[in-house]
Order: sequence, then C-alpha cells, then structure tokens
Amino acid sequence: MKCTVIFNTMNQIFTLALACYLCLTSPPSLAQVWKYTPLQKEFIAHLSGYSSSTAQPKLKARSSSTERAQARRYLIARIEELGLEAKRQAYVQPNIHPLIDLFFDPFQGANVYTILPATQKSEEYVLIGAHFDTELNCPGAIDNGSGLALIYTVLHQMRSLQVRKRNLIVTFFDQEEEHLNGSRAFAQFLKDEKLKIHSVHTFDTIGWDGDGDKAVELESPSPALDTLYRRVAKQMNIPVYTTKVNASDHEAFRDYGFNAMGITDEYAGGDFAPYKDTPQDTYDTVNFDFLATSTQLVYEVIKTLISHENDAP
Amino acid sequence: MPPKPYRVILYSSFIYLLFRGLRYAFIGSYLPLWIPAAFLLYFILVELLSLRTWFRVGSIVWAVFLCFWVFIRFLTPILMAFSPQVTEAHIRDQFNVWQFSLNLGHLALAYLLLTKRK
Repeated sequence: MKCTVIFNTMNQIFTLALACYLCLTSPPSLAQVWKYTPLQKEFIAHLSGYSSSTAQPKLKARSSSTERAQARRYLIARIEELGLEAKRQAYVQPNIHPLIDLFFDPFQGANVYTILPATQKSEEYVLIGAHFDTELNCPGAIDNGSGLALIYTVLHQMRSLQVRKRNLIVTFFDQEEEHLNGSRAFAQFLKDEKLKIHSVHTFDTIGWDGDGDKAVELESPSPALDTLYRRVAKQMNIPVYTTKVNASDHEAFRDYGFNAMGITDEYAGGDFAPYKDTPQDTYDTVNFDFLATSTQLVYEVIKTLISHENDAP
Repeated sequence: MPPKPYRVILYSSFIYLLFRGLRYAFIGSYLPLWIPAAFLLYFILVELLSLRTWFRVGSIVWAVFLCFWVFIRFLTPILMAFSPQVTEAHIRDQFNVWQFSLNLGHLALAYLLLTKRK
C-alpha cells in the first residue's frame, strides 16, 4: 500500500516535471500556434459551409451579393465577439470599361474592418487584410478562408499584447475576385481619411503545403519588410521566398502608393492550392498545420511592427 | 411635330437611363450619362426648331439604340449561363426579376416609338 502511494506520488512529480520541461524547452510561440487551431478550424468550417454557425444556413460559396452579405454578417459577429467595433465600408465602383457601364450596374459591395487601438497615443496604423469573397460555386476554404482565419487569429492574439505602439487595422475585403474592387475601395478610403499607414499586409490562400516544407511567399515586399519577415522566419525555421507577384489585394494598395505586400503559399513556386477557384476548394483540403505556422510567423512580424514604434522598419 | 402621346412615350424612355447615368457620373463614369443626355438635348433642340423630319429620324435611332441596349442585357445572361468560367458575380447578380422587367419595359417603349410615329 505504502509502495503504491510512493509510486503514484513519484509518477505525478515526474509527469509534472516533464510538462514543465516541455513548456520551457518548446518555443512559447509554437505552443500558441496549436492553441488557435480549433478556432481556425471553426472559422473556416463556417465560412466554407462545412458546418453552419447558429441560425445561419450553410454557405455554399461567397460569390453572389446574398452569399457575401451572409459572410459579412458572420465576420461582423466574430469581430464583435472580441469586444471590438466592426465597421462596414460600403462602396460603389464603375465597371472596368465604360461600355460595360452603359449596359450593366456598377460594382457594389462592403468591406468589413475593425481597429485595434494602440495602448498609447499613435497616429500610425499597420493594416492586415484578406478577402472574403470567392468565385462562383466555390466554398473557398483555402481561397480565402485560410487568409481570413489567419488575420482573425492575429487580431485575437494582438488584443492581449500589453504594449501596442501602433494601431492595427484588420480588414476583410469584398470582391477581390472581381478586379480587386474591395481593396481598391478601401485604399481610396484610407487616402480620403488621410490615415498614416505604416504598411499593408494582405493574405491570400495560406492553406496548402503539398511538399510539407512550411514555405511561404512574400509578394512584392519593401526591402525592410522582406528583411523583417526573413529574420522572423529564420528563427522559426520557415523557408521564405520573395516574388514580384502582384495579383491580389496588395496590388490595389500599391497602386495607391502604400507600402503593401502580399503573403501566400508557394503560388509562384508551384506548391499552391490545386482546387483554387473550384467547387473542390473545401474544408477537407486545408492544411491546418501549415496555416498555424504561417499564422505564427505573421503574428511575430506584426507584433514587432506594433510593439516597436521606432526600431521596426 | 408628332402628337403629344408619342412625345410622352419618347421622353419617358429617358427617365431610367438618365437616372442610372447620373448615378454613374457620381462615381466618375460619364458615358452612361452622355449618351441619353445627348439624345435628349437633340430632341429638345429639334422640337424647339420644329424640325419634324429630324425629330422622326432621331426617334428611330433612339428606338434602335433602346433595342440594342435590351438585346445586350438579354443576351449576356444566356451567354454566361453557357460559360461558367466567366464568373463576374456582380453581372450575374443583375439577372433578376427587376432587371428583366426593366428590359421588357424599355423594349415596349422602343416598339411604341417605332410603330406609333404617325
């Protein structure tokens, strides 16, 4: 009897010691990664119609105005869950050619955004964004449920940061699939508001990693942002490739003169979502481990930009 | 000059197109306003100058333009139905009962303009 008690006590002490050892030796950031995976899974499941959120029908796609309105309501509710104010930035934009304007109505949509204020007075903003629309009949789990889940998680984590020296704008763009209309409208809105934007980081399709190397691509970053991402990625053992691809929301911001870059899976490198823009872009195809490591990379970079006003690029 | 009912039909055919033209002008696209506005000015001018023949020619051209406008708007959804790779969700969103009624209404106005000239 006495031996059993001693054995059990020893066993508990050993288990506790092992747990402490693992906690101390594992990078704390990596522990955070897995903590948010259930949240990311739920987020993508709701947005891609794998499951439905309360009182909402399952979303088959986020292409028509009705589907996009439902996705927008969902995103607003998720922002408000965090105790932040969700804002709509509605816009009307002409078609890409005046002749189309003659026959058809203009683009109409609304971006959803929120501002996580700095903990001290600051005029500067860092923007992270991802588009929420999809192509016709496309569930859009990877394109771009993954990007949405990533920035939502970063926002979630940033709230608990003790010192924020810059403001953070988190934006869910409408109509990226239709000539980047949502991001163009938002870039114009930022210009009109005369906000001092430090940098813009947009995320598109971060859910596929066929070769398992965890690599991400940085699209058209400034030298300073390129260096920062590479420095953080090196610490996390994540390969990073820089490309000059300009085919997503960051292009709209670059056109307006912002310091904007895109982050994606290996689109130029060939290891990218094969079901992109098809009905097969479903929840089951998302690589959540890859999404988690990419999220943590982005979190560390944005944390650096937000918490170090002067020495960050 | 054509009788008053004909002129009512003619000028009422401008209402919707001028409205959407103004809406476009506010967002920086002027072609949808220029075309109906130019036709409208033309009709006002020839009516003031009592140029009956020019009024009749103008009304035919305008009616043909309306038919062409409706034709494109009817044809596009049919083409898009057979071309799923052409996504353009905001164009697809416009294939609804309201737009269909507008097309039919303008087609009826064009028909009246072409048949009730005398």
